[in-house]
Amino acid sequence: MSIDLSWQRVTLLASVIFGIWSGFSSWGEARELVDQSGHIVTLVERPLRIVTVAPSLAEVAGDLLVDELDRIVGVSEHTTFPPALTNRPSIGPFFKLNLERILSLKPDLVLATKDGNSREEVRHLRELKLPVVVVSTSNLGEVSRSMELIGEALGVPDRGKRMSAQFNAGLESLRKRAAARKIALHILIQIGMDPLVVAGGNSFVSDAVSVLGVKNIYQAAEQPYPRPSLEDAVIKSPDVILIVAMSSNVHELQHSEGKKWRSFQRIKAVKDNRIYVLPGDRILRPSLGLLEGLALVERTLFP
Amino acid sequence: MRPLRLTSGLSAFVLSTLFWLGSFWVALRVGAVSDADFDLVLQLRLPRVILASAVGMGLSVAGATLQALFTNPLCEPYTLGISSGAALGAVIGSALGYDASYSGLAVPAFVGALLFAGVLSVISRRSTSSQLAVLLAGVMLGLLGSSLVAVWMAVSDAQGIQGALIWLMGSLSRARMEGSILSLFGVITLSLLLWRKWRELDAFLLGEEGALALGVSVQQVRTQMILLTSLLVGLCVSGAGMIGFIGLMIPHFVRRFSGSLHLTLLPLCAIWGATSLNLADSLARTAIAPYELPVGVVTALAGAPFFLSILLKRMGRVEG
Repeated sequence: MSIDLSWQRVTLLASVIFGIWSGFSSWGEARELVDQSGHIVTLVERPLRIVTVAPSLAEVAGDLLVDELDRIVGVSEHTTFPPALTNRPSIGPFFKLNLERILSLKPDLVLATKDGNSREEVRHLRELKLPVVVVSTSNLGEVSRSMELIGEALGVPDRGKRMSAQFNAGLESLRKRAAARKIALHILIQIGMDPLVVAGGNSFVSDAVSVLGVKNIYQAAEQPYPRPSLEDAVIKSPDVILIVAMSSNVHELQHSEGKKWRSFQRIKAVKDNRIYVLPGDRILRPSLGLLEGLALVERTLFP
Repeated sequence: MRPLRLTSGLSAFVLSTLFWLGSFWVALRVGAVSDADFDLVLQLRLPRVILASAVGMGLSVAGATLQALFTNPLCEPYTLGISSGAALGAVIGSALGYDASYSGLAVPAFVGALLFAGVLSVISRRSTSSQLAVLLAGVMLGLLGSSLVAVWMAVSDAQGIQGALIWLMGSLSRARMEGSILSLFGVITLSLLLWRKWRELDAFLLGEEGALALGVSVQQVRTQMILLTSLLVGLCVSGAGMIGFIGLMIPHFVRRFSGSLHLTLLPLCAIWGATSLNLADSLARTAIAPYELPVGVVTALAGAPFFLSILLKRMGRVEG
């Protein structure tokens, strides 16, 4: 059978192909976005293959895309929220990304964070021509802005704005309750066990906990997560020690860390038996879940 | 001196090159993703494999040279602390903001390596005692360098700690195509410059007096060699951090079939260094995927027992 390709047919075929192509290209039209690291990122209108490279980012993106979670195609290790994302292909832990896996997922949007992901790895991803949107969450204002930015990146700016407003409203009501309490507690927020790592004033955790009207004894530290000596912590004698458990084993930590601290009876928190262990996945993640975490801290500190 | 067997040298060379190409192929095939497409291999694996080859080559050639220079089979950039000096230089360079470009760190790394190698050279000339003294001095220099890197880690932010670990334990994950090709080109050039001095290096095997008797201007050659080796180590460490024991194991392995003459030893060391680091990095990338082992850990797991075995053999010889 011979195929007769007359000029008319060729022209018709070409115009049909062009029509389909231009239809597709306008559907996936490119747009530009300035992220929180100051980079201009070119993105498709509605990203369909999203990779999140930190658990908090999966949580925010998951909340914003609650009815279309299949758009998220890869997540970092230890992603726990929303539960539907836990079986997505892993791209490694947030502190050491597996670039091969990320590239093989062919993402049209990679969500990364300045506070956790390595600068060098983010730079490498950008050099591989992947559209990387970086958020910054070193204080509550930035967390709120990051929600809006993620909404814009995902192509759902209104939902992002709503989430940010909900977050700010939640914080405001916590602040009001704190103002009514008028109790000034000095707190040590312990993040790491051996060696001792605490949340300094430049971390969003400290910023968040201070919403409850408490004062971080390491507020003045320059680093977000400094490693003070145990001696220094003993001399500062906080009213409360709040241990944020990175692992899920809260009870075990309550026992082991409690035992360690109890040998320093001159610490006020030890004397008053005010050493608390709380799960980290609600407190250490700059997402809407932080409000739940703060409510939990509030109930614990001011029963 | 043993007459050079050209044909056997050539066949060893061809066979070794085939092994290197084989390791290249293996390293390109394995990774975190089993069904990697062409783009992924080209963008991520190829630069890394080229860098592994360059660094393996550089470290082995540097190791073989240092072993001749100090007439000590336990010498190499890592055990002598020269790598640690280079890492210190690179870390300081990166704190000063030189790490924006890949090759930017090679200069401070070279300065660090040269400083440590210079100190070592002075010690070796002064110490009339054993070869062990030089080695001990090297180990101490290495500790000093690593400790200074750790001090920098302690005072810098969390990002700094992650970065510094790469310097201390070695990683090829920073590989980029341009940088890798530049490194390979640089390493080959420096290795050729060292290779040109193969006769002098052979003479060093007879000890300093022996070399002088053969008409080698020992001081001048030693200075040149230290300069070239430091450049080589600086280039390797600035690309991949501190990777130990490649410079120790490969020259020993190659001497088994090529003999000790540097005309054949150095090129074969280059090829086998590249082969072994390719394979070590493939293992580092795949052993505990999706996590990655620092490649320096893999080489140290093989190298440290090897170091001890040589030490024990030599002690046995001295006692017996």
